[in-house]
Formats: sequence, structure tokens, C-alpha cells
Amino acid sequence: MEGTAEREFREYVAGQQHALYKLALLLAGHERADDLLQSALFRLAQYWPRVSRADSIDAYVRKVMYHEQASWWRRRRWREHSTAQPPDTAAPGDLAAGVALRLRLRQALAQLPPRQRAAVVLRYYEDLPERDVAAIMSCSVGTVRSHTARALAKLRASCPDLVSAPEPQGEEQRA
Amino acid sequence: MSLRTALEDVTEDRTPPADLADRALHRLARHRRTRTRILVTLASTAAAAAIVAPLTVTRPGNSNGSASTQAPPPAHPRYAILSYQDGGSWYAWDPRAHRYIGTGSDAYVPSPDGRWALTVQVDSDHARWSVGRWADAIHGRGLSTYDSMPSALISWAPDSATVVLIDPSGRATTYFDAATGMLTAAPWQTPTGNYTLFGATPGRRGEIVVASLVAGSVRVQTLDRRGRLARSVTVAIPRSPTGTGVPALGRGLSPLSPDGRFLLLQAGLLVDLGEARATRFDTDGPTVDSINGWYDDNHLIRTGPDGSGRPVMSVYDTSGRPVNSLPLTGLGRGITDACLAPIGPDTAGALVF
Repeated sequence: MEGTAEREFREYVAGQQHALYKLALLLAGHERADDLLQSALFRLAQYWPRVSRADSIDAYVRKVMYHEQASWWRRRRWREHSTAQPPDTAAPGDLAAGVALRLRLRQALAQLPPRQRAAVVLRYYEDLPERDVAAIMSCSVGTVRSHTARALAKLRASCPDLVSAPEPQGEEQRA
Repeated sequence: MSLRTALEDVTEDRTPPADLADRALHRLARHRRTRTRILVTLASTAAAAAIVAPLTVTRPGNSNGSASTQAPPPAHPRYAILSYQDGGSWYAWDPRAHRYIGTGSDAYVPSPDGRWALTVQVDSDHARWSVGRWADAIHGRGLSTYDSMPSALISWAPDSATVVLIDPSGRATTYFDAATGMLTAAPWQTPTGNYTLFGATPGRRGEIVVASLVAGSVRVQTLDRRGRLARSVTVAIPRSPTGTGVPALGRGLSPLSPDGRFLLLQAGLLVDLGEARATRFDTDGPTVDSINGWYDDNHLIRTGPDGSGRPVMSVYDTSGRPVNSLPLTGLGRGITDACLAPIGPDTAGALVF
């Protein structure tokens, strides 16, 4: 990659790195977020001349991140197992309760299968319509709904103090 | 608290690395240099359309500057591809139909000697593991099965003598013994400490190897069938690891080299258990994550797309340098894993390497 293309790539990364990193944290967890984002940006750099001419670079990067994570998870989950879990006991006070909720939610996210995790993150954090989530995950809208519902049920079972989230914007509102 | 707010909170304590674009561009440059080397090497051989003998290139010294003493892979095929993953589905060689067929399994991994198949069916709450002779297992016959949580740990021993499967609780172990064809449950007590479990050692002793990264070193412990410490080796690491201490291989493949000497960690480290030292394992382009098997005692394989998106299988030496490469013609373009086993009567017609 040379000249203008490299400059444009650097500008894109500089502008989006915080948003993409947060997405990586939610999709892959704190331990693997760096690797996931780095792999996605490597792929983006590899195909930048073509991707940069497409309608949505963000959609491409999200799709790469989802598939990288799903692929990694399929290969890894048979083997990884840390036996020492961080304590999640809440200390007194609202701040500590918030920290405890964050820890519980992080652990609950880590327990979700990758497709359920991606569905809930893309719907409720990225605020994407089901149609776009389905395109990223290469599945139907119905499958997205199914994954989202299962993920929400598990998250609320683990974190009962999460209030019912308002439904993200639907297809019609975003059209 | 709303879900969206809570998800925001989960990410608030971290900021992205400062040099993301630099690292991506640097990796891209290394990847393209490697691709050029492999293409030049490929151009020098008279490869058949689907069968390519391994290529030997003159390899420079190791990353520490010393000359490599490893023997390159032999110049004739020794292994056949018995199974591979394409687009999330696993395909396996049917020795009776002489073709690869879809398995419907979430993993389909041959034993290192190719005689046995380890398969798994997973849903969100449950996993069913099966072991059987390859030619029978592919038709769903003669399987010993075991049910567990999906996150159970499993590994073939490098000598194919055993499979070890550890429940997520860390308190029970199931062994498959190839000599009897039986799965046997055994009590197992997880020692205290923060570590990652992985391989079974060769030799039918049923030993398990665990490792952890601690204060500039990696500690590798060998535990017996009851979880008692049999041996421990602590090795200084040559740099701060960027990944974790978990093994770089997955899905039941052994992270230990066939002779049990080397251990590959996701942190980009290759631990030499014989000499108690760790060296860097940096492939030019693909990450350690993408390594998916041992070729022989001194070489590893990677399966995946090359720079132009074509699926290839590549062999790396233990310093991470590419040695040879095979285009995976006719197996689909989305291959992410491929499992090798020695050539034998049942592999006639399979893609060889």
C-alpha cells in the first residue's frame, strides 16, 4: 500500500479506532480484543483499495471482526480454560455495585456462544437494524432475532439488575 | 441500568493501542514478502495439479542468529489430508467412497496416526464427543461417546495412544485408550493457580501438561492422572508476550510436537521442554493463532488463504520461517483448518502433502 491509499487507511483507522476497539472488546473480551482488532485491520489493509471504494467500510470491518471471532472461537473453545476466576463480590455503595454489574456482564458475555454474543452487541450496542446484523452474520433476520432473544435471556439471568432494554431502532425507523 | 449503558460500561476502562495502523501495515508488508518467497519457490517445482511434493528452500538461521540444525521435511509426500473445515463445516475423507464428505460435526479430527476419529456435536449447553475407528466413524458406527459441557478441554496425545478430556469443573477427566477402544472416566483434582490446561503427553501415561505465564517466564507443569504434579519446568521468555499462555492449537490437535519436546503457545512462544528454553515463534504474515497442527517433530502447518485469497497449506519451521506450501486445489476456498495423517491404504486418492 502506498501514497494516497496508505494515507486514507491511516485516516480511517485514526478516526474509527476507539469505536472499533470498543466493538472488539464486546465481541471478543478484554484478553483478545487487541488480537481481533489487529487481525481485522490487517485484512482491511490487505483489501483497502477495493474496500475503500465500497459503500460502507465500517460494515466490512464489522463483518471481518465477526467472522474472525466466530472462527477463532470454534477453534479455541475446546481447549482454553482458566481455573482462577476473579472474584465478583460487590463492595458497599452504588459505585461498587456498578463495578460488580460490569464484571458480571463481562463474564456473562464471555459465556455466550459467539453468534448470540455478536447479535446482542450489534443490536444493542451498535444499534444496528436486524437487516444489517443479518448481513454481517451471513444469516436470516429470523436467526438474528432468535440469537438475540436467547442472549438477552441469558444476560438477564446472570444480571437480573439489568432493566429491560428499550428495543433498538427497527428497520422502519432507520430506513 | 439499561443494557446499552451496561455494555458501554464494560468497555470504558480500556483504550486502543496507539499504533494500530502501523502494526497493520507492517504485518501486511511482511505478509507480502512471504507470499513472494513462496511463489518463487512454487515456480521452481513441477507440481501436479492437485498433488505437490514438499519443497525445500535454503533457510536462514534462527531468529537468535544461530544456524538452524533442523532437517527440512522430506522431498516426497508423507501425509494425507484426512479432514478439513470449510465455511464452518467439517469434511472428512471417506476411504470407501474415495472422496471427502460432509460430516455435520462441529469438529472432526483424526488421531495423529490417522486410525481414529474424534468428533464432536455441540449446542449451546451440551457437547457430545465421540471416538471411533476412522473408516467406521465416518459412517457413524463403532463410536464411544461422552457428554460434557461445551467448554470441556480435549486433546489427542501426540502418539495417538490416548485422548484426554477434562470437564470444565476441572474435577473429572475422561481418557480414551486406543489399545482398548474405550473411554474411561477418572477422578482429577485441579491444582490451585491460574493456568490453562492443554495437552496429553505421549506414552499412555495419561499425563496432562498445563502452563502459565508468570513474571517474565512460562511455567510448564506435567500432572499425572490424578492431577498430582509430576514435573515442572520454568523457562525465561525472550520478550513480553503479546498474547496469552494458552496453546496455539485447538480442536483436539496436540499442542505438543510428536516427540513431546516442543510446545507452542498463543503468546508467540515455542517452549523447548527438553532444553528448558523458549524462543520466539513469529510467522511472516499469519499469526500464531492460524497455526493448526504439527507436521513433524520440528515443523508446523498452517491452513488458510494466501495473499490472493487462495487456500494453501504451508509448513513452518520452529522459528516461524516458511519452508514449503501446497495449494489446496479442489477443496473449497474457505478452508481454515486441515488435519494430516500418515499416508496409508485408506488414504489413496486423498490430497497428500
